[in-house]
Amino acid sequence: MNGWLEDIYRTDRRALYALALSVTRRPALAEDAVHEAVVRLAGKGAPPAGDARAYVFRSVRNAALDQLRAGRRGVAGKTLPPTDGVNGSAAPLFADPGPCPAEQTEQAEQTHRLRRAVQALPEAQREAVVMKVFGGLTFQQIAEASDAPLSTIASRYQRGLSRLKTQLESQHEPTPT
Amino acid sequence: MNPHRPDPTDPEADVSAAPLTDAESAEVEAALRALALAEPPASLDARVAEALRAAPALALTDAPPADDEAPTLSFADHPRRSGWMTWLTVAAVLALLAALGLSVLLPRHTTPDGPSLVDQRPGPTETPDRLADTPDAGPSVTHVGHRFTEQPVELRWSRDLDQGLLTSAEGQPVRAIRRQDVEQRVWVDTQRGITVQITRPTERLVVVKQPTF
Repeated sequence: MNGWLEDIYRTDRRALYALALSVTRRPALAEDAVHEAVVRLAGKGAPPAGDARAYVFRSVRNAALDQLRAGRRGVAGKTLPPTDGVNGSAAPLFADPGPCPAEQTEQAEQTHRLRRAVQALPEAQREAVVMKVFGGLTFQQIAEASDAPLSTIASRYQRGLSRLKTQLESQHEPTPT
Repeated sequence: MNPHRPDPTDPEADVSAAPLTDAESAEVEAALRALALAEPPASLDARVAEALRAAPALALTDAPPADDEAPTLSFADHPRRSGWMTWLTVAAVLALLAALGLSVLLPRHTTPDGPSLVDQRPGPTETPDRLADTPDAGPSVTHVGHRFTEQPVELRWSRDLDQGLLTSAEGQPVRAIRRQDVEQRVWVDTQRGITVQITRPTERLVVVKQPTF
């Protein structure tokens, strides 16, 4: 009955979790968001009439926004901190590559900068980048998932890439002493 | 429109950001794809698997759909609500019939010295010797030659709805009250040990004569 949903989750589970994490920036809320979206979709039973992948990403994004709003309200009136990360940093979207050999230090440093740059993107741009690059969605699918015009999604994505490139290039330049 | 180019009409457009060439975009995308996304926690996979397993049961629950998602079931399609829709339809038909009956009977019962309460009740029901496929009889039961004894009608639920003031043809103000009941009627055939039970909604329109000054 829900084979379509199981297939999409199996294929896109990392991207869906990353999208939820990108919105909520807290692992616990992201997990709840993905779970909540799956429960909602499974309860409906039949697959949607349109693009099923875009529909699932949209559901996860909306569930993440719901979780974020609930998290901001806090439990029993006590507002949660903005992030779960250490020193206010966001929960990581990417896996930790672990220690690298000495000859790969420069590449690892660049990777580390890119990860931080993605984390630092504005939320809308980060969502577009996550869904396009890691989810493999088309601009049309992202527009459906984000409930935004296609041209706006393309602009967000392009600006996100531009900002990432600027960050990487500025970090490549030698630091003046 | 080239989707890789920013939309100049986009209010979020960052005019300071230089547009990337296709090669530059591909370079950044390649660098991004080299990153590995964080693995979802195992607890999430377990919760999702549980949700997918429980899906058939979930489909029958009364959980409201999310605001953002188009429901696949219409209001009338919902199993529980369809019963109410049927009741409402029956009640609407009864109300229409009562209103038609009132329009015919009201001038005869609202004379100046007449009764202050006009109750439009259906006539007394006869104890059925035969229960057949009629709407009142409910189940298709036919027993010729056996006598069913009707038990007192039991009122299971009732409410009154004030329908406001009306004026009869003679100019007499009356207050219309719509009384909705759910009755349970039971017929028992003690000889054969058969009990027929019918629960049905009824609706009556009661008009109360109002004083004039």
